[in-house]
Amino acid sequence: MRFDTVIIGGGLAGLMTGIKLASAGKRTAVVSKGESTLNFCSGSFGLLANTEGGPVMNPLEGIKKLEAPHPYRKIGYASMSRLTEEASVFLGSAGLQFNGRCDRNHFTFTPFGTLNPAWLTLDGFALFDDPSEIRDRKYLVVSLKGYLESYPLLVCDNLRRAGAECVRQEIELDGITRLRDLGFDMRTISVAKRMDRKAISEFAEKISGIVGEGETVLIPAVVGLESGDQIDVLRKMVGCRLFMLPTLPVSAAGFRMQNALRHRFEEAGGIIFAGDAVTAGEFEGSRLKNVSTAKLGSDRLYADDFIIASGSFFSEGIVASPDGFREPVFGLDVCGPSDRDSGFSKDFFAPQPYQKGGVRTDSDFHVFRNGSRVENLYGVGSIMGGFDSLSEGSGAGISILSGLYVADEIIAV
Amino acid sequence: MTGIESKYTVEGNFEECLKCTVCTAYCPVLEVRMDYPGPKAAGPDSERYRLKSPEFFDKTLKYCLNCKRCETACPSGVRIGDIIQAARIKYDRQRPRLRDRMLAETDIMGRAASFMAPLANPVLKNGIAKTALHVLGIDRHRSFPAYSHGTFASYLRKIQDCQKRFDRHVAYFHGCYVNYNFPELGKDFVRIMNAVGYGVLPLERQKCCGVAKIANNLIGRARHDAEINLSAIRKAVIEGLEVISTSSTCAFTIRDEYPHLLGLENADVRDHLLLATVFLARKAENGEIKLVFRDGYRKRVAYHAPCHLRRLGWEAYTLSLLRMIPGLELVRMPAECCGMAGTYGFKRENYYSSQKIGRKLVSAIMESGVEAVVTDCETCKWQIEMNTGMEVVNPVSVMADALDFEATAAANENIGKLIENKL
Repeated sequence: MRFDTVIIGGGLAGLMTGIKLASAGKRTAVVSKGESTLNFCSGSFGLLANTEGGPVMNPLEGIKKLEAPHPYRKIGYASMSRLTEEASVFLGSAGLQFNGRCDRNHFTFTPFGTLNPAWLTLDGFALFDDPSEIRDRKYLVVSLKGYLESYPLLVCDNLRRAGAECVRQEIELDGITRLRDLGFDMRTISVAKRMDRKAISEFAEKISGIVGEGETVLIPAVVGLESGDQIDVLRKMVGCRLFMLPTLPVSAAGFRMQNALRHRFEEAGGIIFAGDAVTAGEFEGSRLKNVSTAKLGSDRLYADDFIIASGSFFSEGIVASPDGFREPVFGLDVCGPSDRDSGFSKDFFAPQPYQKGGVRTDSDFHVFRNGSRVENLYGVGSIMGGFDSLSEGSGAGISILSGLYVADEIIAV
Repeated sequence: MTGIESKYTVEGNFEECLKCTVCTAYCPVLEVRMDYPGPKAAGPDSERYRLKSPEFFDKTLKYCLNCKRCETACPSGVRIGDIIQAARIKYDRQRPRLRDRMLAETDIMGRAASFMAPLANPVLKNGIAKTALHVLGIDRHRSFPAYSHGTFASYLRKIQDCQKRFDRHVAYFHGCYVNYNFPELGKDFVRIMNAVGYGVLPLERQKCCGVAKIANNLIGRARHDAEINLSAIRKAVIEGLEVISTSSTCAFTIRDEYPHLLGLENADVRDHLLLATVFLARKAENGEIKLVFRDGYRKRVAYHAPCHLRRLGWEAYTLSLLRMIPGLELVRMPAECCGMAGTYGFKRENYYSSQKIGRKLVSAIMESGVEAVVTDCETCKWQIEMNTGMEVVNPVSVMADALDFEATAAANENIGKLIENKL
């Protein structure tokens, strides 16, 4: 089959790139070997929160402090601010309303009630310009009886440490508690799928019955699986300040993002090979001619351009073994620590050097194979080497912006 | 080392499960049944226990639709659906009931009913018969698809003289639905293939693909039929023929369920068993065949990709073929299961689950304002027809409706054959 562009990987990077290309009229395919880590997302995207020089408040200014091979340095200051605007437009076109700006980080809650810096946060979650804002606030932390993935005790503890007043209440919802009694799997998505109109009204009624004067309500993020409207409905019914606390993976917010982006991509004319995996490629000189997949047998996917957005270690975009790490599909050149000993720090919480390991890319995100640049194959997102998304808080930003940047290059030709 | 090692063929690959639980988010049964443990728990999690002792086998595994959506979702290549079905095959000691046999023995039922179609069809619609079937465990809300008087197989035999006159040929695995219920689809397929220059040959023998027997734990019977099918397919492939199906589920069963669940090796023929849309899309894209469409053709339809087609990885081919039709406006439906899953939805105990699972798809179709629905699977068709009242057609029949047969035959330098054969 022939396409203009074939993207390997159907996560945040692959789908955002795909949406931009398909919207520009390119015949675009995404090959995705399964659900991506976007399903695990808390509800916030980071752009840049830390550099080796310390915390960053203005990510746009912060990129100046990054070392040269960092993806953001390749994108450059001017493109960064333009592409961040574009990102919000594409996310909005998928029905995902985010709050936040690229020149100033805000703070959002973690599932444990501490605060993390972020660039964009999905509607329904709390945002603070400064961590000190929660001091002296009054919170009511609501949990659902039987639901396994919220941590009200830890949340309260952390809120109090930050100087807030906090009370904790458990609510019993008929439909949900009954599930627990039946031995049902009480994870986020299972509960969220049962949050129908009736359950929401019951939830609202019970919250209204316990909320005190001046209290802000925090509920676990089991509402709004299909759209953001549900949380608005709940807020209106309760009639007080109410936000969701992120939950652990798989999250309702992540599930919603993944499906909204996939739907938007298909709506724009994109084709998804779901549950299929690119297994190898045929190269001709410095170009990738076609790829084969696990499901298509003798057929090949041909394209003018290819993008590899298959993720990092967790998604097996990069595979580690005792003697190093490699990119398993094409055997692309990798960069990063050369051996196992230099890849690890013994301090578990310190930045781990292996996190910077990944595929080597040039200034326009072309990848290399056997030392030579591949003219029509780009690496985007966390498969790339040269940055530590965990300690930088930059994973989502790099996925989105490198993808949109590469899409510009492809559209321009 | 380059190239991804395939985890799809490793036996016992439940150990690849990372416990990320993302499969549970995409299981349609988990949404509607509270007594079903979900794919991760029923599949890789419980497999450990079952290996320890068969008494850990959980009867509720029968509520699995076998839609394989968990496998499509799994980022680690775990064959979750296969693990669940294999556990049912291995550990379920409950004998299939009369009802299960009636539903699963599509060949026996089909042959009898098709022989007596003028009598059988009104009887099957009759209230008393429906009540009797309801008592047996076939839900009274369901109707059997009408049986055709005379089978497709006998029609295909009748037209063999002219089919043989073509220079190129394919073999057709028509399956039970085309054979006993809806020969029109098979005839549409033959007309299209003839127009693009291929004669359609029967397989030496063919039985039901076995999907219903596998689902109803008639494994011995399923394997018996599968062996007959495989040996006939093998013979055709050795003769240089591609074997084509017009049902995504038949193709899926023969390609994937035979080796995964029945233990029948098919690697030598698997690549040659294709869905008609895959065959046509590939040939048309390569320029090996030409399709010319009618000038005045205009239609707005919804397209529903069956779960098994998605699992085959072939949705893109059907879409690409349908997109070649200039007058066809295609509205893609969300990737939801219709809930029918073959014999599953016929069973009284599953009727409400089946209807509830299909709700999202049905409402998306109703809201789309289309004239008809297109899907590659006959049981999806029954479910959607029953719930929307709309006409549901196979992509092959859409092609047959849109194609200018004469112009297509001429473009494929084939018009002489068509006239000569009075086709």
